[in-house]
This record gives sequence, structure tokens and C-alpha cells, in this order.
Amino acid sequence: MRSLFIKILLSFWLAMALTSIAYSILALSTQLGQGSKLRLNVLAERRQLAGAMLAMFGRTAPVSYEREGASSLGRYNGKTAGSGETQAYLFDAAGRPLAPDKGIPALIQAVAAEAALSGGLKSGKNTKYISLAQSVTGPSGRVYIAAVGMEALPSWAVQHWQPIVRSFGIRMAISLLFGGIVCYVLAWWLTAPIRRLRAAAQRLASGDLSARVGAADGKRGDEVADLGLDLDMMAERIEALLESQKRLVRDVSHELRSPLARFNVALGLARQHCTSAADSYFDRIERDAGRLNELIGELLTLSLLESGAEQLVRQPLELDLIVAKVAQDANFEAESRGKNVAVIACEPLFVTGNGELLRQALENVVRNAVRYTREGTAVEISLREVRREGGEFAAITVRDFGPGVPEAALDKLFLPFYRVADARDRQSGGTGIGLAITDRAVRLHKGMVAARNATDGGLVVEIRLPITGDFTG
Amino acid sequence: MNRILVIDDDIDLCELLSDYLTTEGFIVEVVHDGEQGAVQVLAGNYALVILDAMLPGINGFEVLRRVRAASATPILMLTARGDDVDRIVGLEMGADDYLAKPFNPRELVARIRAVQRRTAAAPATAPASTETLSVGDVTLDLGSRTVLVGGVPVELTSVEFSLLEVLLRLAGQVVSREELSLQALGRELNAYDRSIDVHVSSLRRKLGALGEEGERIKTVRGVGYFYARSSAMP
Repeated sequence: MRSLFIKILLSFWLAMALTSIAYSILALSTQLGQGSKLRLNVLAERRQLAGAMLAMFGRTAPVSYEREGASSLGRYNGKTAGSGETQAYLFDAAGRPLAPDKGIPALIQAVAAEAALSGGLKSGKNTKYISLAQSVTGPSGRVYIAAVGMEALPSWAVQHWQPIVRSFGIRMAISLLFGGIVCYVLAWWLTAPIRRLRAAAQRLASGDLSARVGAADGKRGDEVADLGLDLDMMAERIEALLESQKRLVRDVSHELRSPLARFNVALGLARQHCTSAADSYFDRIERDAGRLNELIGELLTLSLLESGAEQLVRQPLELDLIVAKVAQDANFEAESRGKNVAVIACEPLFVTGNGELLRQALENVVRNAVRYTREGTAVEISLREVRREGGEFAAITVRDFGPGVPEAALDKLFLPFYRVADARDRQSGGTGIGLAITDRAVRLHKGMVAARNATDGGLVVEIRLPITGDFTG
Repeated sequence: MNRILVIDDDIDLCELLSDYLTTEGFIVEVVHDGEQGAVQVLAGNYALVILDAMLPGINGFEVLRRVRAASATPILMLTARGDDVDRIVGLEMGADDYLAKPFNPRELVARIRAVQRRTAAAPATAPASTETLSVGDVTLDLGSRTVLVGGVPVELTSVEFSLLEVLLRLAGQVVSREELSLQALGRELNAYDRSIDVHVSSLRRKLGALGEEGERIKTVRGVGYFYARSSAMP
């Protein structure tokens, strides 16, 4: 349950639901309590009524029976049966029914039998049916058993569970529904500004230095709005710092390169006015000026990387396109020296990061490879997905057919200014910083770069970058 | 036509450049201030303007904008090396070509001559001739170097015009970037050189799309570009 919105929504809703349930249960139990009290009253009254009826029946039934016979008993049932509920029967002293009425309830028969055995008022034990029986004496002196029976509760007083459950259910549903709506709105209102803050922060993080939260939440005037203001202030500061960084690098670049620009034109003038005898010397001067220029460029790049100023621009990138472009450009350059650059394997892979940085990082490795590979050979580049502990990575390998590098020097390759063997390296060009830039740039992307010697000669440099997500939807 | 104006605040550099270019046969004038430079370009009649991107006061791009508002004089911008943004913005704003400092003066001369060749080519076809080149709804007037798209005139820089001319002459066929560079820029394409791509992109934007058929100028990855003939055409 990561989402704050969900947490707020569910906790409020749960609180409302529990309260609602508690109240409902309370109301229900009160209702049930009252209901049962009512029923007890009704029950008591009915028993009293039954008792009274028994007494009356006991007095009058034997008289009617002795005077008019069994048929008169049907009258009582008919009469009392008119109320729909009570039944009265007369039995002889042994418990045998006198009115041959069909369907004398078994309970009445049972209680009459009991009274026949032991005399006195006998009451049936069934809770749903009141049955009373008593021995009475007729005018003739004979003993009879009078018995009455009725439903313990009238139909209207019987406890039906269904409607109760249904009304409980409806009540719960309504309160949950409205509660849910209110909680949803509340949670939304609380978390919406947080969403806005996140959106602004994400835009800032992905390189849009002008991203701000804005005054939209100003009216709220609460802690969340204050957070928004703080975020904006922080963004201002970051933007200002980075701008001044970039300006500094630009200025330094300009200051360092202006003398070089003059240098070059002056050299051109010297060539124009001197004899060709001086040519080879001028060539050397030109070469070193070129190296100096390259060095300035790379040092500035390295310093930008070290300061982390480039970190902020992050976008989804298609690595295969970057690899293809670098290979194409490098091949163009390589061909003029009798060498080639070829992409031998390429998979469409995506990473998040700074396209320009990665391009430069790869370019430095490839140009190095072109520099050292033997004439007539092709530098091979491949881009593949590999699985290692830690996840899935895009692996770019650059393989050359040059002299390789002594084992001991392999991990020092990526240190600034490191040279394997001075003399040869200075001749073939390169500043010694290119690979350091690659290393730094790749590590900024949470990747790594390493070099090893190929089994059949040459150097293999592998850049590994974590693949982030799947942009192919 | 070999009058060149250099607008750069680096006094020493301008002095050296002036000497160098004069030896190569050009007539060079120098201005150290952007504001004044813009005025001078519009007042004078130069074959080419060399403009530094980083100028104090009004910067190089502002000068570029002012000049382009009123004149099609070829402009070559000098930019700080490695600053892609400068390069691309400059080309999009109408600079014909760029050169990063520090540059090889031989390269500079080569580019100046390329520009000269291009602009000299136009008046060579007699002004009276109304030689036009039409493909689909695009008509190029090679004499006045103007373009009509569906009858509506479109403003193109000199390089963009040359580029379009090459593509239209070979409409339907792929032209390599190297070839485009030679014909339109008058120089060979260097490695890591994106100028052709930027000019093509500008051209696309100015010409607009071809109905629902998409881009007029299509890219062929790794090879070059071609002008797409509308399928409605014969």
C-alpha cells in the first residue's frame, strides 16, 4: 500500500465503516432488546389468557357436556376457534378425548395425559405453543380433564430475521457508499497537491530546469503549499547554479581557445611566407596545437562530468541508434586510414540517460580502437542484452585488432592521462583523457566499463549499462 | 566579388586573419563590435561575412538575425568548438556554414571559396534567362534564386537553395550526404559534421509537408536524402 491516497482513503473509510457498524449493532441490539421485551409481555399475557380460558372452559364445558352431550364441545372449538388461535378440548378422567374432534394437537393430548395422571394444573413445555390442562369436576361429580392450547406468540409478534438482516444490510450499504464517496473526495483533496509537487519535481529531475510548482496551491495556505514554495526556491537555486557552471565552462573554453585560434592563423601566415623547407617543422607545431585543443576539450568535459552538471538531463534513449551513428562517423574517419568500423550485432535496447554523454563515451572508445587497430582490419562493435546478478544490462563491446594492452595495465586504462607505453601512444595521437571520460560518463549512468585482451589479439572494451524499463509498451 | 567583412572582438585574431586572407587575394575589412557590424553588412556589399558567435554587447546570433532580416549576404559563423547548440542554432537561423575555433585557416579559405563559387554561379546564367526547375508544387527560379511552393514564395538561405536545387534535379533518387555537401556547401563532408543535416531540417520546416504523404525530403539512414515525388504526379 504505497500510495498515500490509498492509505488515507482506506483508513478514513475503515473508520467510518467501523463506526457505522458499531452504531448499527447498537441500534440493532436495542431494537432486538425491545422486541424481546415486547414478546415476553405478550407471552405472559397469552399465558394469563390461556389460564383464564382454561378456567372458564373447565367450568362451562363439563356442564354443557353433561347436559347436551359431545356435540356441544364442538361449539367451544368453533367459538374459540373463531379467534383463530385457541383450541379447547375436554377429556375424560383417563385422558381420552370426549369430543371426537379430528386432529387434536398432540401437545394438548400430552398435557391432558399428564393432568390425568397427577391432577392439578399441568403446563406443556413447548415454548412455541402454550398448552394447559387441569382436572375439573362436572355437576354430576364426574372428573374431567379440560385442556386448552394456543400459539405462544401471535403471528405479528414472531421474530422474523430476514427483514432485520435486510434493513441492516441496506443501512450498511448506504453508509459505506456515502462514506466511500466522502472519503474519496477527502483523500483526493489531500493528495492532489502532492501529485502536483511530484510532477514538478520529476520535470526538474529529468532536466527541465524551469519546472516550478507554481502558485496554484497558494490559496491553500497549508503545509503542503509551503512545501511547494520551498520546492520552487530550491529549483531556482539549482537552475542558477547550473547556469553559472555552464557559463564558467564556456568562458574557460573561450579563454583557452582564443590564443589557439590566433596561433593557428599565425601558423598559416608563417606557412604562406616561408619556404617549404620549414614545412615539417610547421607540421609538428600544427599537430601539437591540435593535441592541445583536444586536451582542452576533454578536460572541460571531464570537469563538467565531475561536477555532475550533466546529470540532470535524462531521457529514454535508443542505444542501437547511438551505436549506429557512432559507428558510421568513426567508419568515415577510419576509412581515410585504411581501416574500418563495423557493427556486427545490434539489438534494440533502451536505457535512460544523457544521449550526448553516452555518445561521447562510446566515441572515445571507438576512436581509440581505430587508432590502434592494424591497417586493413575492422573494429567490431556489438550491442547485446546480457543477464547478470543485478539485472539486465545492455553490453556494448568494441574489439580492435591492435597490439592489445599488458594485463597489469588493463584497469589503469581508464585513469586520466594514463599511457600504456609513452612513445607509441604519443605518436598515434589521443590525449589520455578520452577513456577517463568514458569511465566517468558510464558510471554516471550506473554502468561500468572494462577492458580485456581478446584471445586472438587485440583489445576488447565492454561498456555495460543497466536497462531501465521497457519502452516498447 | 571578394570583399569580406570580419566581425570579431578578438583584435589580434582579426589582424592575423586580415593578413592571411589578403595574401589569399581577398579584400578584408574588420569590425570589432556586433552592433556596428550589423549596420556595416547591410550598408555595404560584401561577398561574405565572417561572424563570431561570442561577441560582447549584442551577441553573434542577434547580429545574424538582424542581417538576415534584410539581406541574403552569405554568413559564415565562428563558434566555440564542441558547442553543438551554437552550431545548430546558427545554421537554423540562417548562417550558411560554420567553423569552430580554433580552425585551420586553410579550411576557412576553402569554405570562403565554396561560397564564392555558389553565389558566382547565379549571375553567370544571364539575368534575362528565366530558367526554372519545377518538381510537383515547388518551382525554383534559378536566376533570381527564389522559390515558390504552391505559388507561395518561401524564404531560403543561399545554402538551402543550393541544397534544394540538387535534391530536385535528382528528385526521386537518393543523394549521399557527401555529395550534398560538395554541391551545396562546396566542400567535403567531415566526420561528425552535422551541417547538412541541420540545413535539411531547416529546409523541411520551411517547405512544409507534402499533403498527407509526409516529408518532402526523406531520410535514408546511413546513406543520404532524396526528394520524394508526389505519387499524384506523372
